[in-house]
Amino acid sequence: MVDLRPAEVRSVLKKEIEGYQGKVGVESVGTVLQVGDGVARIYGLDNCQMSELLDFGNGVYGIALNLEEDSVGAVLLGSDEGIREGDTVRSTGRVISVPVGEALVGRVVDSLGRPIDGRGPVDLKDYMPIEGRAANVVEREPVKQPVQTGIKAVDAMIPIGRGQRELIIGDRQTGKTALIVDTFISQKNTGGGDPKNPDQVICVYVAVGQKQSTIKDVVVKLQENGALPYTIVVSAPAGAEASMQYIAPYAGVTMAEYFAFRGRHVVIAYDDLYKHALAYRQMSLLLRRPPGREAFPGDVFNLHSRLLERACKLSKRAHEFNPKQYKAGGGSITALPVVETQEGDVSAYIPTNVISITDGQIFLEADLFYSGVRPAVNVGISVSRVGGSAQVPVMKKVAGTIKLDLAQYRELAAFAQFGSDLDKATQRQLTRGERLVELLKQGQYRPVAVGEQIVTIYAGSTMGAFDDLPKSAVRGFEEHLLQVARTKYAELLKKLPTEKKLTEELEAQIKVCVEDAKKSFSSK
Amino acid sequence: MLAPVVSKRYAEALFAAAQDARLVTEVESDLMALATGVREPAIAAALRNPTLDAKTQKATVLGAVDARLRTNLVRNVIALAIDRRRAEMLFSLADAYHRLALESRGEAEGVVESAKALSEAEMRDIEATLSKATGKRVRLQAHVRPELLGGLRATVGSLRYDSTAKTRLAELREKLLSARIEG
Repeated sequence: MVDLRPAEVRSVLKKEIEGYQGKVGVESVGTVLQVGDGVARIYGLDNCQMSELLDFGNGVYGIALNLEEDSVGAVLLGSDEGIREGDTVRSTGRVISVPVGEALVGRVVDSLGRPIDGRGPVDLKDYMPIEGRAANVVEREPVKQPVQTGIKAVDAMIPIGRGQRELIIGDRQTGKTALIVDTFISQKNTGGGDPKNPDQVICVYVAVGQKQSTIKDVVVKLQENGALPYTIVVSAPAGAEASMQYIAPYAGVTMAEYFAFRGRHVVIAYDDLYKHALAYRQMSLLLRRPPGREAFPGDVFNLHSRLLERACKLSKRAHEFNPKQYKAGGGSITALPVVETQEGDVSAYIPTNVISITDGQIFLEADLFYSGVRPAVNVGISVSRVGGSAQVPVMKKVAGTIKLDLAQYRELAAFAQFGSDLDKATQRQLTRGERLVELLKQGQYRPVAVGEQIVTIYAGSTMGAFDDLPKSAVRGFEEHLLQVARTKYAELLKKLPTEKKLTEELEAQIKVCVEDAKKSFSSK
Repeated sequence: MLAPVVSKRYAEALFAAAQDARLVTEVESDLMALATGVREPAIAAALRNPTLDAKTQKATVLGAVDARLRTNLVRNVIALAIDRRRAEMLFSLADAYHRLALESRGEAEGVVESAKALSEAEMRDIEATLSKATGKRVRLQAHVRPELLGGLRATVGSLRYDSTAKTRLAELREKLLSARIEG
């Protein structure tokens, strides 16, 4: 365990010798009255602050959460083994903080920022308290830049903007984590995957109460797809203490703020907040705070709202308003909280809370998932309340028709199940709808760039280029179309995301591209 | 768990009553007598025995300590506590009252621990220094603890002044374990 180097030992001892004279430590101390289940009750600690870090000795720390008349209630950030009644507890005078900085990027750390990926220590000197102040009204600006998830269904119909809070909600095994991983992989397009590039979006994945194996899976997938170099993974697995699970999202957003406050863009995913609420409930009940609905404490709403309030789109001039906090303006934190539902029940306590806090939600449905629609996004009830203004203009125009087409299809599909005699127009709607549903299916870890998304959706919806193909050929033609576009119309693909408007000229160019592909596809 | 909170309430009321009657020190010494009284196993058992009625309990406690009580206030507190089924609180009442009395006199009690016995002059010196630091007249109790190796450690309330060799060595150990090459 101990790996001492003579040079370090010498320098530490030298400092010690130089500063030996007259050193008297003054500290506030208390005595452990009771310890167990990860919480401790302490007598003394007169001047203890809220959420102050307490030193229990032997490298075990705790957070003071209940300041009572004659005792302090604290949760332990580690094992309570070896702590006994009557032990001395020292207050540190620091509120709980985590290390922040560039060196964290590409690493897997625990809730306290300690590396757990076996790749050596993280060399950081800056610490920030995990409970921070959310940006106020003047420091913010409206959401206006897009986050490209690379998922056609999301980018076209439920667009997410930088600084938005978009909930990802669904039953277990419906692809919630997969959606996040895809989004992270897609961020490589922003800066080539180089975290030093100021355009590169930094990703933070906070795993709360997840299985270690799942977390490992995510890390491996991110690594395989080249997304790990610009990602921070904060891991508080199911086996970690409730206190570690409780602070993990706050630790993650604090690490994200370091970048956002320097003008960078960050996407942070909390996977998942239901388990976070469970960890907080455990802590609260053990600290004898009064239980409320479903035994959650009264402040479980605030628990999540204060976390998600820290998502922000900062004004270009944020650093002029508050130079102490912001080093540069224009940064953003996009929050993607995940909530797991039980049997699709979105009206449970925690899901409704988080739905009301966020700026929209992406519903993932088990039925869709098992019928082969993946990503299993239910576009009918998924919404994005602010993302529309951040969407790429051309995409916005093109996606308008697909939304309408799909809505009509859903309505007709319900009827069509009963009768067989359908008129031409209805049949056309149904074919179109079926083709579009097929078109929105997408393989995992294969994000599609915006330009390519625009071309396929324009072909499928406005042009109806898929309508005369059998359903089984839709995927094949889509691939072929993208192949053609990439090789012969690369210029167009590059231009589409930056154009301010879908001009007739632009439309004509897309049409040429699609027809070209169609010709070569049918001759194959 | 609740006993200290309850005894603090009773102590505050008793202290206010004692101040009105100008009997603060008398009540304090009465409470000391009560504290030694209830520490006797027979009396403690009687107070904690739920099958005894209030009259018997009062008779038992007063029988043991009445001769040593100088004020009626403490007799009343005993009766009141037993009537209200708060007899448990009598065990910690003296401590709670003592803290209040100290506070009102601007005094504080503390402990000083050292590896070797301290001389009278050293004790007075430390007391004076701590009095200055805390703004209260500090009275210290001295303990000798050889395991501290050297230096001394003084605790007043929840404030601790520590210059012991043991702590210094522990800190040095931490530093060495977390040392890293800089630059």
